[in-house]
Amino acid sequence: MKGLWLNQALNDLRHATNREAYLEDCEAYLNRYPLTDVEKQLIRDGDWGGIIDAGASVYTLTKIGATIGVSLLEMGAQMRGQSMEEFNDFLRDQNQRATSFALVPDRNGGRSCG
Amino acid sequence: MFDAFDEAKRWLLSLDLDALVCVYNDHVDQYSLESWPQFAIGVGDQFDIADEGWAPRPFPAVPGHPPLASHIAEQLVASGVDIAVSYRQVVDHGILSPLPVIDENWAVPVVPIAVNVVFDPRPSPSRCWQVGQAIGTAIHSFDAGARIAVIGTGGLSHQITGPNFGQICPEWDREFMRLIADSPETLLDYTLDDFARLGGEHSVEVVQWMAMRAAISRDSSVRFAYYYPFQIMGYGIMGFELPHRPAAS
Repeated sequence: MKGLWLNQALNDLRHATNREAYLEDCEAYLNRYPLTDVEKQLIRDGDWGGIIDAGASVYTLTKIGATIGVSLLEMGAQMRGQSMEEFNDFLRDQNQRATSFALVPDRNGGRSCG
Repeated sequence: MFDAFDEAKRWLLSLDLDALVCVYNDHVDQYSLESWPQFAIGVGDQFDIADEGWAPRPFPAVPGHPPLASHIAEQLVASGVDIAVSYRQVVDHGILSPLPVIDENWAVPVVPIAVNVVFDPRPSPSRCWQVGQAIGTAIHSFDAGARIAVIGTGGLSHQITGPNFGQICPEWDREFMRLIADSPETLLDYTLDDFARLGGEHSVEVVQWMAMRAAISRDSSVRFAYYYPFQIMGYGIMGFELPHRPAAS
């Protein structure tokens, strides 16, 4: 598997003791795993798109986000090459375009169930 | 959308169900790089809440239904679906995101059936359909008096990596909802790559909707269908009702 140890190092952060160890000394934590220098640097840099390109699953990536307090949306903005403000503008425009496709219960139509 | 969830919840709770068979996907919380099953069923009597990195969400353990789960596992293996069996299991947001909006205080025991949509190789949409059919057959041969619903979970369009992070595809989501209602067999011609192209890489979770649709009668009718595209996800909820048949004498 491409990025096996990258995935393993990230996914082990689902254990609270490992999160504490990472926050205490991230270099020591990373040295527990046979990661390449490039992989370690991607983590040090918080290069989220690079970590995905190196083979990590987004579902192991979110665990380091949880550990260090970076949200998935913040990771996403970086992957898009945008600031949070630019990304929020994109989402606002997308919401506006998408809303015509919504299909929601008619509050006044008295639609009932059960 | 919360009105839609309320309607779904009121309906499901009114059915006085004995179990919810929940087809979902694990996000590398229960299963691991040591072994990664294509399909797996949880037969335990309860499922603890996974720690996905933020500490476990403050929910009590989810109750399981060992007799039904064991029956489904046996029937699947006997019919050629060699499903992995989890005797101990934690559940993550694959179950914990949808369950609270359709259930109250874990009123109904859950049988979790996980589908691999994360690591290659992954089962094809048509294979998920076949497994769904086998799940339906297995449920029908359980205690005839049992009241069981099948849930297929998963987000509609979403793409949560790469330069198109956050892009949603509401046109396709609505089309998918139309197809799964009216002509679900047409979805068998789609590949995972097709779904990824149409709805984003992470929209392949819709194979779990397909397994649900295959598990219930072909002539089930749509009781409700709601959709709300918001931020980085297309959210859909549909309720299918089995055709009413005269009770067997």
